[in-house]
Amino acid sequence: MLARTHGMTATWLAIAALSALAVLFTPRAATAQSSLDAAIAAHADDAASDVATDASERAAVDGESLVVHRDAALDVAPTDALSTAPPDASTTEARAPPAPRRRLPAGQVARVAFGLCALFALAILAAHPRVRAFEKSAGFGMFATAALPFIALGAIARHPVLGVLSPSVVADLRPVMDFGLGWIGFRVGAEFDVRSFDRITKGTGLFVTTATGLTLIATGMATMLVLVPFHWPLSSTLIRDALLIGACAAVSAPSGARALERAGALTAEASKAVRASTRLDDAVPMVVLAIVTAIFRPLGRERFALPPLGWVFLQVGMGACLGFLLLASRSAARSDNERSALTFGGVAFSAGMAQYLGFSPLVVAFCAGVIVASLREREGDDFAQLLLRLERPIYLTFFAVVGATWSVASAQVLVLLAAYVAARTAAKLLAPRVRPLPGAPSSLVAIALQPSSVVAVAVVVTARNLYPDFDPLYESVVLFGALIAELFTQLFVAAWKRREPPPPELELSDAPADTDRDDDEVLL
Amino acid sequence: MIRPLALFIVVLALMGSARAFAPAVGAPGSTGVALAVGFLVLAAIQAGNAFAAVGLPRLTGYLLTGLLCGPDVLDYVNARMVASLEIVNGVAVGLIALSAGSEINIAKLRPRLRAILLVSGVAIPLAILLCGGFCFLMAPRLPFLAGMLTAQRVTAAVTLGVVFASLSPAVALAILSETGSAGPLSEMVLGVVVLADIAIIVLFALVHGLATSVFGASGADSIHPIAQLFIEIFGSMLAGAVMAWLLAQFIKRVGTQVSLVVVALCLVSAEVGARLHLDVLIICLTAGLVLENALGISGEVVHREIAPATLPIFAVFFALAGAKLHLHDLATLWPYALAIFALRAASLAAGARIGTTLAQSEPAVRRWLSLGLVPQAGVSVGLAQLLAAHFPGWGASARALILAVITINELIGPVLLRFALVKSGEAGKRESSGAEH
Repeated sequence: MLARTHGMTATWLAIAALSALAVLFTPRAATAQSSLDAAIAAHADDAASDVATDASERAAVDGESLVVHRDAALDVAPTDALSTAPPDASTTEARAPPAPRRRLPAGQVARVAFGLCALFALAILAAHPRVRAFEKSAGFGMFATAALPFIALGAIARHPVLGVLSPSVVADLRPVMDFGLGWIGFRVGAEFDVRSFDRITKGTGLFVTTATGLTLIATGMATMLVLVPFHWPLSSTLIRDALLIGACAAVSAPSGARALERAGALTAEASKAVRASTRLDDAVPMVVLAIVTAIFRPLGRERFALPPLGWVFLQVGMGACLGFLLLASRSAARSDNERSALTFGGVAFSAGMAQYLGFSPLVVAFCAGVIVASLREREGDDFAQLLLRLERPIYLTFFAVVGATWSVASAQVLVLLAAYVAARTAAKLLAPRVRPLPGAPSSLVAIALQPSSVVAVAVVVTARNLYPDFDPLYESVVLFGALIAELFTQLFVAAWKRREPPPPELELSDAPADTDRDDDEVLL
Repeated sequence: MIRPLALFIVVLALMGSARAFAPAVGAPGSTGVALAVGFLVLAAIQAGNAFAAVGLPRLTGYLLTGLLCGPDVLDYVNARMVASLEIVNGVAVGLIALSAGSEINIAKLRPRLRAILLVSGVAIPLAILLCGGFCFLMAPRLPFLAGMLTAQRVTAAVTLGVVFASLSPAVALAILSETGSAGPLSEMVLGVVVLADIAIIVLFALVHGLATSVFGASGADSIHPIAQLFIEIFGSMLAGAVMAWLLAQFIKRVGTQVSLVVVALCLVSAEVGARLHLDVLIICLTAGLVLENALGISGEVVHREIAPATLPIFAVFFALAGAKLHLHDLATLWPYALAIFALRAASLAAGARIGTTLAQSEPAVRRWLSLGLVPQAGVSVGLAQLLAAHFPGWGASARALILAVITINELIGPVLLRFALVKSGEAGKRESSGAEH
């Protein structure tokens, strides 16, 4: 039988014999002992790096171990390598004795697993076409039907009694948040196909500039007025926060226009014009974020010193480069799966690079999205379908993580909330009268612009991630403000319907949302 | 070739420039995980395309991307990022196992079962014998074995032999999927690597128990090895059956976003399973087998549904595997590693030849199966880590040697497997989305 074995076996055996000879003829001291010492020392360095990582990560979550599961797949504590060869680490963290890693009890593991599964299952079910169809036909925005419930779910899941999204789990899910922000930025950018700008009604741009500018200034000023007594003397940080809050207030969702259209208040053309304007206004927070992150550098210890304008160009240039790279990669892709993977990778790369350098993932991914949307070949590209297919579960998981990190903060919220809502509502009501939107009645446009876009949540989350001193109460203000705006719009629509019932053909439709993609699907 | 290579260079340049601009300390709260994932997906896919253009496996492109950009060379993906991305491993192994399980139709495979058992039954013991024997013979020159008593040397050598004998279902399935292969050789490769992997897990549990009694162990689990083995195998199979039922219900009743559900289930299997002493490979393998053979969800359906998720996850998984390859180990231990690599390949080749001859397999299988068994990764890395953790006295040195051998196997194995599939004429015979991978 052995004689019949393949010549391959003999070849391998010959190589083995030669290697064994190499071992035997090499001086012992020069091979085994020194080789293994070198190899073990290298592993010890790796372990030291792990220790440093662990120390910094532990510090980031108030002492709770983040990486309880990192080595669980192997049930290994990598610091064991230290027992044979202590690391020659130069960092303080590496010298510090590693804290023992906490193993979660099985019951808690099961609870976390069940909770995460339940959250994810809800995210998938909430992304079902029927749910989206209901949302669209009822005139609700994504903020009301998806973002708020999932933020609330995240906040509930964080509660110590449930312990599903504990600080350690949330810290492990932090990349999901980064990626979610990047995806939102990319999705907003993907709506800015410059080739379609020619079709926008003349005067819309000026209206959007007026409406967003007025809202940004009014809300920012109101925020500053409320906060000045608490933050006296006036600091640049307060100006930064006011700008960011103003940017959150500036954006509107298209759901208001759709709800008014279904109630018979707005004509289809007027509704479309309003929705086009809400799509354009999403660029405003991107511009504000780009400027704010350039002026107020979150890190302050860069290797390069650039003027603020330089940082703006760097962000935009980085986004453009990534956009061109993604465009080139997608055009060379061999299949839909590869295009999906490249899009996913491109967004993660954009978001990760922005976060890594202290920029906003929203801005960099937005620039990349604009480039891809504007320069891609439309024929045979499933770009829009891809975005639609993936975005709901990504957003909903993102919102759940946001909810888990949300702190309602103090009673100060109520004061600031009142100022925020009053300023935002007044500015949105006033803007169409200052500069009317062509083809739409100003009184109804003012109502249609009230609902807030989920981009506002993304902006406030970005600010919180970038600036550790960004007060968590701003997040509560934006979330509650959006909820109030949604309620206000729905109440108006209900009142309108009571006064003038809509024509029968405008009653709720069962058509799936994704078969009716017009101009503002899902996100905006 | 030129276009993917140019794109690969652009991705590297962008990453390099980002690193140049990076502050002395990272952004608050940033672990660079999103950056690493995005970078690895973009770079690995382009490298894979470039390799495919010259007739090499994409997988090798992924691995080399990781090796080039990992901590040992460019350090674009540093040790911290690699550690943070450990979570991808569990998902990828789960996806691979689910795919592998759903490809195995027991009724269709029955005629090959004898050949699979014969090949596994000869090749694995032979590999353990030759590799373990080499370690025993070289004990005087290997310092971690030199100071041991004979009984201890034998135990350590057998343990090492078991680890060296492990195969790689992950690499095998990825190459089969990438080349769109179908036929007797593909079925044999898949059957042998899956069976051998389970056998290695069982054998390792046994020799680990033996080694614990001979050496004593630190950091070992409180559960008895045999009980742990029981839980690992049967508990995992039970969990896999539950997972299959859940997945089948979802596919039948909801039918949307299946790939995301599968990824979530694999994630939960990996993360929870690890804490409950369950093995994600067995869980997902069982789930795939149950889906295909008991619940009427065909492998093609599973493959099609999870195809959108597999490419980015595989690219990151194999790139990470490349990033974890230890060039410094290889540079220092290459004569030992090369000898063990060759002995392992020789024993697998002999086992494959003897087993297929006894089973009267097709000529193509007899001729090329030996090359299909060379890849080694995943499981053996895990076993090496276990040795280092449980036997600090000699396990750390043994891990260095094992990782050096894996480095060679992981770089050469996929090339040999692809070569065998192409030469046997089975590459490109399957019409499925897997071919797109």
